Amino acid sequence: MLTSAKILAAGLLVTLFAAALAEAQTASAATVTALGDALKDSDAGVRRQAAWALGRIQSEQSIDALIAAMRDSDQQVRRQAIWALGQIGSAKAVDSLTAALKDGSNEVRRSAAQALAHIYGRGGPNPNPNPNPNPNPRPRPF
Amino acid sequence: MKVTARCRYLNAVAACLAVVSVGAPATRAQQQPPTAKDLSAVIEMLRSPDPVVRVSVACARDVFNSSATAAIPSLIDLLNDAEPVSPEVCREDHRRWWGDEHPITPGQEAARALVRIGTASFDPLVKALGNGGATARRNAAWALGALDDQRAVTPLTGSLRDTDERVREQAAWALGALDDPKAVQPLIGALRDPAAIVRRQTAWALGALDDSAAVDALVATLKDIDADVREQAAWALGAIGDARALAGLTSALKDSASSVRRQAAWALGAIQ
Repeated sequence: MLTSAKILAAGLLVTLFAAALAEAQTASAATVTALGDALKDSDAGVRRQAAWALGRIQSEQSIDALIAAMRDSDQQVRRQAIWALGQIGSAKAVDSLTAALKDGSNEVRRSAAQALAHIYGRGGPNPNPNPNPNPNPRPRPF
Repeated sequence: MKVTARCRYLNAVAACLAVVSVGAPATRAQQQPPTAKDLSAVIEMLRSPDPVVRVSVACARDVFNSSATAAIPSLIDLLNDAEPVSPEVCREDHRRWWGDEHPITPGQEAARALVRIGTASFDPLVKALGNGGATARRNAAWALGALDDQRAVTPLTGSLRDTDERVREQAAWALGALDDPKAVQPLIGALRDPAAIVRRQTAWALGALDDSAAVDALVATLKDIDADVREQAAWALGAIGDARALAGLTSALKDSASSVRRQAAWALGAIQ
Protein backbone atom coordinates (compact mmCIF):
# COMPACT_ATOMS: atom_id res chain seq x y z
CA MET A 1 0.00 0.00 0.00
CA LEU A 2 1.34 3.35 -0.93
CA THR A 3 1.75 5.81 1.85
CA SER A 4 1.55 9.50 1.11
CA ALA A 5 5.26 9.75 1.94
CA LYS A 6 6.08 7.22 -0.78
CA ILE A 7 3.91 9.09 -3.28
CA LEU A 8 5.63 12.31 -2.32
CA ALA A 9 9.07 10.70 -2.73
CA ALA A 10 8.14 9.27 -6.12
CA GLY A 11 6.76 12.63 -7.21
CA LEU A 12 9.95 14.34 -6.08
CA LEU A 13 12.08 11.85 -8.05
CA VAL A 14 10.00 12.40 -11.19
CA THR A 15 10.34 16.17 -10.77
CA LEU A 16 14.10 15.92 -10.27
CA PHE A 17 14.45 13.69 -13.29
CA ALA A 18 12.38 16.03 -15.46
CA ALA A 19 14.45 18.98 -14.22
CA ALA A 20 17.69 17.17 -15.05
CA LEU A 21 16.36 16.33 -18.49
CA ALA A 22 15.27 19.93 -19.09
CA GLU A 23 18.70 21.13 -17.99
CA ALA A 24 20.41 18.72 -20.38
CA GLN A 25 18.24 20.00 -23.22
CA THR A 26 18.92 23.62 -22.28
CA ALA A 27 22.67 22.97 -22.31
CA SER A 28 22.33 21.37 -25.72
CA ALA A 29 20.27 24.30 -27.06
CA ALA A 30 22.87 26.72 -25.71
CA THR A 31 25.57 24.69 -27.46
CA VAL A 32 23.71 24.79 -30.76
CA THR A 33 23.20 28.57 -30.43
CA ALA A 34 26.88 29.09 -29.62
CA LEU A 35 27.94 26.94 -32.58
CA GLY A 36 25.57 28.97 -34.76
CA ASP A 37 27.36 32.12 -33.57
CA ALA A 38 30.70 30.40 -34.28
CA LEU A 39 29.58 30.12 -37.93
CA LYS A 40 30.23 33.89 -37.98
CA ASP A 41 33.68 33.63 -36.34
CA SER A 42 36.47 35.72 -37.89
CA ASP A 43 38.56 32.54 -38.35
CA ALA A 44 37.53 30.32 -41.28
CA GLY A 45 38.81 27.22 -39.48
CA VAL A 46 36.44 27.88 -36.58
CA ARG A 47 33.51 28.41 -38.96
CA ARG A 48 34.38 25.19 -40.79
CA GLN A 49 34.62 23.21 -37.59
CA ALA A 50 31.40 24.71 -36.19
CA ALA A 51 29.53 23.66 -39.34
CA TRP A 52 30.97 20.16 -38.96
CA ALA A 53 29.86 19.99 -35.33
CA LEU A 54 26.35 21.14 -36.26
CA GLY A 55 26.21 18.39 -38.85
CA ARG A 56 27.03 15.90 -36.11
CA ILE A 57 24.53 17.35 -33.63
CA GLN A 58 21.78 17.46 -36.29
CA SER A 59 19.52 19.95 -34.59
CA GLU A 60 16.80 21.55 -36.70
CA GLN A 61 17.47 24.69 -34.66
CA SER A 62 20.70 25.25 -36.62
CA ILE A 63 19.23 25.09 -40.14
CA ASP A 64 18.90 28.87 -40.69
CA ALA A 65 22.46 29.54 -39.50
CA LEU A 66 23.79 26.79 -41.78
CA ILE A 67 21.84 28.11 -44.77
CA ALA A 68 23.44 31.52 -44.12
CA ALA A 69 26.87 29.84 -43.92
CA MET A 70 26.35 28.51 -47.45
CA ARG A 71 27.20 32.06 -48.56
CA ASP A 72 30.52 32.05 -46.66
CA SER A 73 33.55 33.43 -48.52
CA ASP A 74 35.50 30.26 -47.64
CA GLN A 75 34.75 27.32 -49.88
CA GLN A 76 35.48 24.76 -47.14
CA VAL A 77 32.96 26.45 -44.87
CA ARG A 78 30.32 26.31 -47.60
CA ARG A 79 31.03 22.62 -48.12
CA GLN A 80 30.81 21.86 -44.42
CA ALA A 81 27.53 23.77 -44.14
CA ILE A 82 26.16 21.83 -47.09
CA TRP A 83 27.31 18.56 -45.60
CA ALA A 84 25.70 19.48 -42.27
CA LEU A 85 22.39 20.35 -43.93
CA GLY A 86 22.51 16.99 -45.70
CA GLN A 87 23.06 15.29 -42.35
CA ILE A 88 20.14 17.11 -40.74
CA GLY A 89 18.09 16.06 -43.76
CA SER A 90 15.39 18.68 -43.47
CA ALA A 91 13.21 19.56 -46.46
CA LYS A 92 13.63 23.18 -45.33
CA ALA A 93 17.18 23.18 -46.73
CA VAL A 94 16.37 21.71 -50.13
CA ASP A 95 15.86 25.03 -51.96
CA SER A 96 19.16 26.44 -50.69
CA LEU A 97 20.99 23.21 -51.48
CA THR A 98 19.52 23.23 -54.98
CA ALA A 99 20.77 26.80 -55.41
CA ALA A 100 24.24 25.63 -54.36
CA LEU A 101 24.27 23.33 -57.39
CA LYS A 102 25.18 26.56 -59.25
CA ASP A 103 28.06 27.50 -56.93
CA GLY A 104 31.26 28.67 -58.66
CA SER A 105 33.33 25.91 -57.06
CA ASN A 106 32.90 22.40 -58.42
CA GLU A 107 33.75 20.93 -54.99
CA VAL A 108 30.85 22.90 -53.53
CA ARG A 109 28.52 21.75 -56.32
CA ARG A 110 29.60 18.16 -55.71
CA SER A 111 28.93 18.46 -51.97
CA ALA A 112 25.50 19.97 -52.69
CA ALA A 113 24.66 17.13 -55.06
CA GLN A 114 25.74 14.57 -52.47
CA ALA A 115 23.76 16.27 -49.72
CA LEU A 116 20.62 16.38 -51.87
CA ALA A 117 21.06 12.74 -52.88
CA HIS A 118 21.52 11.92 -49.20
CA ILE A 119 18.28 13.70 -48.26
CA TYR A 120 16.24 12.16 -51.08
CA GLY A 121 17.91 8.77 -50.92
CA ARG A 122 17.47 8.60 -47.12
CA GLY A 123 20.93 7.57 -46.11
CA GLY A 124 22.86 7.72 -49.36
CA PRO A 125 26.51 8.59 -48.84
CA ASN A 126 27.19 12.13 -47.64
CA PRO A 127 30.96 12.05 -47.29
CA ASN A 128 32.46 14.74 -45.08
CA PRO A 129 34.97 16.78 -47.07
CA ASN A 130 36.90 18.00 -44.06
CA PRO A 131 39.53 16.35 -41.89
CA ASN A 132 39.16 17.42 -38.27
CA PRO A 133 41.88 19.06 -36.26
CA ASN A 134 43.20 16.54 -33.81
CA PRO A 135 46.43 17.67 -32.19
CA ASN A 136 48.42 14.81 -30.75
CA PRO A 137 51.77 16.07 -29.55
CA ARG A 138 54.28 13.29 -29.15
CA PRO A 139 57.55 14.48 -27.68
CA ARG A 140 60.53 13.09 -29.45
CA PRO A 141 62.01 10.62 -29.90
CA PHE A 142 59.29 8.73 -31.64
CA MET B 1 88.66 -6.97 -44.97
CA LYS B 2 88.51 -7.28 -41.21
CA VAL B 3 86.58 -4.02 -40.85
CA THR B 4 84.13 -4.91 -43.62
CA ALA B 5 83.19 -8.01 -41.64
CA ARG B 6 82.45 -5.82 -38.64
CA CYS B 7 80.12 -3.67 -40.66
CA ARG B 8 78.21 -6.17 -42.67
CA TYR B 9 75.20 -6.37 -40.33
CA LEU B 10 74.72 -2.66 -40.12
CA ASN B 11 71.84 -1.29 -42.07
CA ALA B 12 73.15 2.19 -41.51
CA VAL B 13 75.86 2.12 -44.10
CA ALA B 14 77.01 5.53 -42.92
CA ALA B 15 78.54 3.92 -39.84
CA CYS B 16 80.60 1.59 -41.94
CA LEU B 17 81.60 4.38 -44.25
CA ALA B 18 82.82 6.36 -41.28
CA VAL B 19 85.06 3.46 -40.31
CA VAL B 20 85.94 2.03 -43.69
CA SER B 21 86.02 4.24 -46.73
CA VAL B 22 85.34 1.53 -49.33
CA GLY B 23 83.57 -1.77 -49.70
CA ALA B 24 79.85 -2.47 -50.13
CA PRO B 25 78.35 -4.58 -47.32
CA ALA B 26 77.62 -8.17 -48.32
CA THR B 27 73.88 -8.30 -48.97
CA ARG B 28 73.45 -11.97 -48.15
CA ALA B 29 75.17 -11.63 -44.81
CA GLN B 30 72.75 -8.90 -43.68
CA GLN B 31 69.99 -11.45 -43.16
CA GLN B 32 71.88 -13.42 -40.52
CA PRO B 33 71.70 -12.48 -36.83
CA PRO B 34 74.73 -10.69 -35.39
CA THR B 35 77.32 -12.87 -33.70
CA ALA B 36 78.92 -12.00 -30.37
CA LYS B 37 81.96 -10.74 -32.24
CA ASP B 38 79.87 -8.41 -34.42
CA LEU B 39 78.07 -7.15 -31.35
CA SER B 40 81.31 -6.31 -29.60
CA ALA B 41 82.32 -4.30 -32.67
CA VAL B 42 79.02 -2.50 -32.50
CA ILE B 43 79.47 -1.78 -28.80
CA GLU B 44 82.90 -0.36 -29.57
CA MET B 45 81.41 1.94 -32.21
CA LEU B 46 78.76 3.15 -29.76
CA ARG B 47 81.69 4.69 -27.85
CA SER B 48 83.14 6.40 -30.92
CA PRO B 49 84.22 10.02 -30.44
CA ASP B 50 82.29 10.88 -33.62
CA PRO B 51 78.58 11.51 -32.88
CA VAL B 52 77.67 10.53 -36.47
CA VAL B 53 79.12 7.08 -35.86
CA ARG B 54 77.37 6.75 -32.49
CA VAL B 55 74.01 7.74 -34.00
CA SER B 56 74.26 5.59 -37.10
CA VAL B 57 75.29 2.52 -35.13
CA ALA B 58 72.47 3.05 -32.63
CA CYS B 59 69.89 3.36 -35.38
CA ALA B 60 70.99 0.23 -37.21
CA ARG B 61 67.76 -1.75 -37.37
CA ASP B 62 69.17 -5.23 -37.87
CA VAL B 63 71.52 -5.16 -34.92
CA PHE B 64 69.35 -4.44 -31.92
CA ASN B 65 66.86 -7.22 -31.30
CA SER B 66 66.20 -9.53 -28.37
CA SER B 67 69.55 -11.29 -28.91
CA ALA B 68 71.54 -8.06 -28.51
CA THR B 69 71.20 -7.79 -24.72
CA ALA B 70 75.00 -7.48 -24.39
CA ALA B 71 74.71 -3.98 -25.85
CA ILE B 72 72.26 -2.76 -23.17
CA PRO B 73 74.83 -1.22 -20.77
CA SER B 74 76.52 0.74 -23.60
CA LEU B 75 73.16 1.95 -24.90
CA ILE B 76 72.13 3.03 -21.40
CA ASP B 77 75.41 4.97 -21.15
CA LEU B 78 74.55 6.65 -24.45
CA LEU B 79 71.10 7.83 -23.26
CA ASN B 80 72.47 11.11 -21.90
CA ASP B 81 74.23 11.94 -25.18
CA ALA B 82 72.52 15.03 -26.62
CA GLU B 83 74.96 15.91 -29.40
CA PRO B 84 72.79 16.87 -32.40
CA VAL B 85 73.36 15.15 -35.73
CA SER B 86 71.61 15.58 -39.08
CA PRO B 87 68.61 13.25 -39.48
CA GLU B 88 70.14 12.21 -42.81
CA VAL B 89 72.24 9.79 -40.79
CA CYS B 90 69.15 7.72 -40.00
CA ARG B 91 67.13 9.06 -42.90
CA GLU B 92 65.07 5.96 -43.41
CA ASP B 93 63.30 6.30 -40.07
CA HIS B 94 63.32 9.98 -39.58
CA ARG B 95 61.94 11.29 -42.78
CA ARG B 96 58.67 9.53 -42.12
CA TRP B 97 58.15 10.81 -38.59
CA TRP B 98 59.87 14.13 -38.40
CA GLY B 99 60.74 15.36 -41.87
CA ASP B 100 64.31 16.42 -42.32
CA GLU B 101 64.50 19.52 -40.18
CA HIS B 102 64.84 17.97 -36.71
CA PRO B 103 68.32 17.03 -35.60
CA ILE B 104 68.64 13.65 -33.91
CA THR B 105 70.92 12.63 -31.06
CA PRO B 106 72.78 9.48 -29.99
CA GLY B 107 70.65 9.44 -26.83
CA GLN B 108 67.41 9.30 -28.77
CA GLU B 109 68.70 6.59 -31.05
CA ALA B 110 69.98 4.60 -28.08
CA ALA B 111 66.46 4.79 -26.59
CA ARG B 112 65.03 3.44 -29.82
CA ALA B 113 67.61 0.64 -29.90
CA LEU B 114 66.74 -0.30 -26.29
CA VAL B 115 63.07 -0.53 -27.23
CA ARG B 116 63.97 -2.79 -30.13
CA ILE B 117 65.95 -5.07 -27.80
CA GLY B 118 62.77 -5.35 -25.73
CA THR B 119 61.95 -6.56 -22.21
CA ALA B 120 65.59 -7.02 -21.17
CA SER B 121 65.96 -3.23 -21.37
CA PHE B 122 63.16 -2.62 -18.87
CA ASP B 123 65.02 -2.68 -15.54
CA PRO B 124 68.07 -0.74 -16.79
CA LEU B 125 65.71 1.90 -18.23
CA VAL B 126 63.84 2.26 -14.92
CA LYS B 127 67.21 2.77 -13.25
CA ALA B 128 68.23 5.41 -15.81
CA LEU B 129 64.89 7.15 -15.30
CA GLY B 130 65.71 7.44 -11.62
CA ASN B 131 69.33 8.43 -11.60
CA GLY B 132 70.54 9.31 -15.11
CA GLY B 133 71.27 12.83 -16.36
CA ALA B 134 68.33 14.98 -17.49
CA THR B 135 68.64 13.91 -21.14
CA ALA B 136 68.99 10.26 -20.14
CA ARG B 137 65.90 10.49 -17.91
CA ARG B 138 63.91 12.02 -20.77
CA ASN B 139 65.01 9.39 -23.28
CA ALA B 140 64.39 6.63 -20.73
CA ALA B 141 60.86 7.96 -20.13
CA TRP B 142 60.20 7.82 -23.84
CA ALA B 143 61.57 4.28 -24.12
CA LEU B 144 59.48 3.08 -21.17
CA GLY B 145 56.37 4.47 -22.86
CA ALA B 146 57.28 2.77 -26.12
CA LEU B 147 58.17 -0.58 -24.48
CA ASP B 148 54.50 -1.02 -23.63
CA ASP B 149 55.06 -2.66 -20.23
CA GLN B 150 52.63 -1.32 -17.64
CA ARG B 151 55.05 -1.98 -14.77
CA ALA B 152 56.55 1.34 -15.89
CA VAL B 153 53.51 3.30 -14.67
CA THR B 154 54.78 3.62 -11.09
CA PRO B 155 58.29 4.92 -11.93
CA LEU B 156 56.88 7.21 -14.64
CA THR B 157 54.36 8.61 -12.18
CA GLY B 158 57.32 9.53 -10.01
CA SER B 159 58.91 11.29 -12.99
CA LEU B 160 55.90 13.63 -13.20
CA ARG B 161 57.68 15.33 -10.27
CA ASP B 162 61.13 15.37 -11.95
CA THR B 163 63.05 18.65 -11.62
CA ASP B 164 63.41 18.89 -15.43
CA GLU B 165 60.29 19.93 -17.35
CA ARG B 166 61.30 17.99 -20.48
CA VAL B 167 61.44 14.82 -18.40
CA ARG B 168 57.99 15.54 -16.92
CA GLU B 169 56.65 16.18 -20.44
CA GLN B 170 58.03 12.90 -21.71
CA ALA B 171 56.74 11.02 -18.67
CA ALA B 172 53.26 12.43 -19.32
CA TRP B 173 53.48 11.20 -22.90
CA ALA B 174 54.62 7.76 -21.80
CA LEU B 175 51.78 7.47 -19.28
CA GLY B 176 49.29 8.33 -22.01
CA ALA B 177 50.88 5.75 -24.31
CA LEU B 178 50.83 2.97 -21.69
CA ASP B 179 47.06 3.09 -21.37
CA ASP B 180 46.79 2.18 -17.67
CA PRO B 181 43.94 3.83 -15.71
CA LYS B 182 46.22 3.99 -12.63
CA ALA B 183 47.90 6.97 -14.31
CA VAL B 184 44.73 9.10 -14.44
CA GLN B 185 44.89 10.60 -10.94
CA PRO B 186 48.62 11.49 -11.06
CA LEU B 187 48.08 13.06 -14.49
CA ILE B 188 45.16 15.12 -13.18
CA GLY B 189 47.64 16.51 -10.64
CA ALA B 190 50.11 17.28 -13.44
CA LEU B 191 47.53 19.54 -15.11
CA ARG B 192 48.72 22.09 -12.53
CA ASP B 193 52.40 21.71 -13.51
CA PRO B 194 54.26 25.06 -13.69
CA ALA B 195 55.48 24.31 -17.25
CA ALA B 196 52.99 24.75 -20.11
CA ILE B 197 54.63 22.00 -22.21
CA VAL B 198 53.97 19.55 -19.38
CA ARG B 199 50.34 20.64 -18.95
CA ARG B 200 49.76 20.31 -22.68
CA GLN B 201 51.25 16.82 -22.87
CA THR B 202 49.30 15.86 -19.76
CA ALA B 203 46.03 17.00 -21.35
CA TRP B 204 46.92 14.86 -24.36
CA ALA B 205 47.66 11.86 -22.14
CA LEU B 206 44.33 12.20 -20.34
CA GLY B 207 42.54 12.30 -23.68
CA ALA B 208 44.47 9.23 -24.82
CA LEU B 209 43.58 7.37 -21.60
CA ASP B 210 39.93 8.18 -22.35
CA ASP B 211 38.77 8.15 -18.73
CA SER B 212 35.74 10.17 -17.63
CA ALA B 213 37.34 10.74 -14.22
CA ALA B 214 39.46 13.45 -15.89
CA VAL B 215 36.55 15.47 -17.31
CA ASP B 216 36.16 18.04 -14.52
CA ALA B 217 39.91 18.73 -14.35
CA LEU B 218 40.10 19.08 -18.14
CA VAL B 219 37.11 21.44 -18.18
CA ALA B 220 38.97 23.58 -15.63
CA THR B 221 42.04 23.42 -17.92
CA LEU B 222 39.98 25.09 -20.68
CA LYS B 223 40.77 28.25 -18.68
CA ASP B 224 44.55 27.66 -18.59
CA ILE B 225 46.66 30.77 -19.33
CA ASP B 226 48.42 28.98 -22.23
CA ALA B 227 46.46 28.65 -25.50
CA ASP B 228 48.20 25.40 -26.53
CA VAL B 229 47.16 23.84 -23.23
CA ARG B 230 43.56 24.97 -23.67
CA GLU B 231 43.53 23.60 -27.22
CA GLN B 232 44.81 20.25 -26.04
CA ALA B 233 42.28 20.14 -23.21
CA ALA B 234 39.49 20.76 -25.72
CA TRP B 235 40.85 17.92 -27.84
CA ALA B 236 41.00 15.60 -24.84
CA LEU B 237 37.39 16.40 -23.89
CA GLY B 238 36.28 15.59 -27.42
CA ALA B 239 38.25 12.35 -27.32
CA ILE B 240 36.70 11.32 -24.00
CA GLY B 241 33.25 12.28 -25.27
CA ASP B 242 31.56 12.94 -21.93
CA ALA B 243 28.52 15.26 -22.05
CA ARG B 244 29.59 16.93 -18.77
CA ALA B 245 32.10 18.87 -20.88
CA LEU B 246 29.46 20.52 -23.08
CA ALA B 247 29.02 23.70 -21.02
CA GLY B 248 32.77 24.31 -20.69
CA LEU B 249 33.39 23.63 -24.38
CA THR B 250 30.51 25.91 -25.34
CA SER B 251 32.18 28.75 -23.38
CA ALA B 252 35.48 27.90 -25.11
CA LEU B 253 33.84 28.82 -28.44
CA LYS B 254 34.46 32.39 -27.25
CA ASP B 255 38.16 31.81 -26.43
CA SER B 256 40.58 34.56 -27.51
CA ALA B 257 42.67 32.04 -29.51
CA SER B 258 41.20 30.73 -32.77
CA SER B 259 43.03 27.41 -32.34
CA VAL B 260 41.07 26.85 -29.13
CA ARG B 261 37.73 27.87 -30.65
CA ARG B 262 38.37 25.52 -33.54
CA GLN B 263 39.21 22.61 -31.29
CA ALA B 264 36.23 23.34 -29.03
CA ALA B 265 33.90 23.25 -32.04
CA TRP B 266 35.46 19.93 -33.05
CA ALA B 267 35.02 18.53 -29.56
CA LEU B 268 31.36 19.60 -29.40
CA GLY B 269 30.74 17.69 -32.62
CA ALA B 270 32.77 14.72 -31.43
CA ILE B 271 30.80 14.39 -28.19
CA GLN B 272 27.48 14.00 -30.00
